[in-house]
Amino acid sequence: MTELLLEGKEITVTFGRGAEAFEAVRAANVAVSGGEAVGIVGESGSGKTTLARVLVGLQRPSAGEVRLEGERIFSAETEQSMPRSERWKTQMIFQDPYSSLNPRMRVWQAVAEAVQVWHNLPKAAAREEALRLLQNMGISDDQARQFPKSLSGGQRQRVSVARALAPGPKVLIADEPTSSIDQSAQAQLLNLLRRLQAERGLAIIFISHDLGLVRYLTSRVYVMQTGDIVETGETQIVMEQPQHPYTRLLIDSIPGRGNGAG
Amino acid sequence: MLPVVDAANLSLDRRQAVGIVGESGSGKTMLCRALIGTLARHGAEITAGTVRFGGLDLAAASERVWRGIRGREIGYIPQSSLAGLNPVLTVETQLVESISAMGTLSRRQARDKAVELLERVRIPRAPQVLKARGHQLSGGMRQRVMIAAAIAQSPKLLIADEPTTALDVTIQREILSLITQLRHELNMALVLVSHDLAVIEDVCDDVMVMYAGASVESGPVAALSKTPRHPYTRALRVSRVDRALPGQDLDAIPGDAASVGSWPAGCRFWPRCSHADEECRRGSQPALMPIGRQLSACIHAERLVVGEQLPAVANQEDSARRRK
Repeated sequence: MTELLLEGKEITVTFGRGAEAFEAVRAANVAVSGGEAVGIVGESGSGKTTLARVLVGLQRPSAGEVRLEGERIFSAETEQSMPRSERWKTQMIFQDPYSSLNPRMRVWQAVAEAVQVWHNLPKAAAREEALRLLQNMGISDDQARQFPKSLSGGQRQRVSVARALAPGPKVLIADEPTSSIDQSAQAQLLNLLRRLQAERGLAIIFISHDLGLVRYLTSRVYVMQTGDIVETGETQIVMEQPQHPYTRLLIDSIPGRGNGAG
Repeated sequence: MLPVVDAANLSLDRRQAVGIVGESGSGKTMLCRALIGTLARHGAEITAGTVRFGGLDLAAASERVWRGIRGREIGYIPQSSLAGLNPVLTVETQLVESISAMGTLSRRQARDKAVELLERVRIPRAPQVLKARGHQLSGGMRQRVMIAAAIAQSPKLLIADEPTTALDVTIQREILSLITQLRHELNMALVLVSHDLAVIEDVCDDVMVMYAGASVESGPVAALSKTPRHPYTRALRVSRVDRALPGQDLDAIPGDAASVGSWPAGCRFWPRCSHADEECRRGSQPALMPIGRQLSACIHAERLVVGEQLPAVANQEDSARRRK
């Protein structure tokens, strides 16, 4: 049994106060081991993105704690944000590759900036490292000299992955990374994520509303509905024998099963 | 002048449902605009080809002619129509606008008709929803209202451009099933645009596949799914996650889609195609040719079928057939 790498324990996130208070996530327990790929599946409003933002240190939980390699690094009680010495270990890529890159920075600069921040390398060395990271993601030196606007959605998303990999993280959280890119680019990105997991032992938390993608990429899954984790287990077993009615509904909604026509 | 679509062919009969599938930039939306007469609003025009609807030739039709067709004969749900509903106006104000285009109805009659339309798209408590404003409705409800507006005048044809793209999967399923039910109730033909072949396979009879401004394959959904006769169609199918086992690489199409303004010579798919040879790089985009039960723009369509069956698909009788 591999040791737990990143763990969210009893995470609750409440927005607003008093009568306006709204619990986006309720006492959620999630964990990923080294080299493991887990899925968080749910629809808009399920709390899956909020939970991810807690895990990566962008959102303080109202209750509960985040543990990394067994150490508590972030919780409702601690005053400060997630410590820098821990932050590099968990990186995140976002749904929209169009808004997550600075439009006035060349592609290599966006990645070199991340390299410099985390490795404190001189400029020339950071550039070299950025180009190497981009090349591994299938972005040529020529494309790296462009501004993000001349790249396709799929290419931009691969740039985001290169940037996220700059600090050499242990966990990559991918929040709906394929929902705004074309199908052929989607297959390329999924292959890439799978290889990072299989070959480099990168742990992946893959967030999606699409159980088909989650089935392909992950070995365990958490199903979220309006802030609660309603079902969890091995992805294959959950897909074949869903226990919760909401999981069954999600499975029945996958297009291509001949049921979209009612 | 920059061509954005230059070899698109689409035809459908009364009550038939045809899907258009292709990646962003392939020209799906531009083709829809040509079919609904709104190209001029987007700074584009038809420079060659015909658009025929019933007995009418609409390619060069004036705006006045289009006004009699649009909404009345051809209903349209534009892409990102979720943003199309004005957030501050009530549903009533916006629906009555579509209805009053029908002619002289009193305010009361128009309102009754609006309630009827909301009920038709299965919106519960229609009179209350009529008083709601766009921003108070969920994405699925807003899309139902947009559908209600598109079918207000019982058109013979409904064109829906990516109607479920921004919706959750469970809502997507509800909307697709609603569109299918309405199609049967109103005897409408349907053009459904999607980047997801699986969605089209669930809803449509026929499908037309677009790549870089051209139709590359068309025919019955079942035929294209069983024996695709164009490498791009085949690639769209085999790159899907449900085609691979966990732990196995997806059969991804290499490279990036040819973008408008930089289409290659010859077949536009050749730079990404594993079957491409010298012949494919010459001349211009090949025309659609009949093969089996479908049309394909691949000059090697036969070879593709004989040599390569899709995994998990039985060898069918058409595989032996030859291009005439």
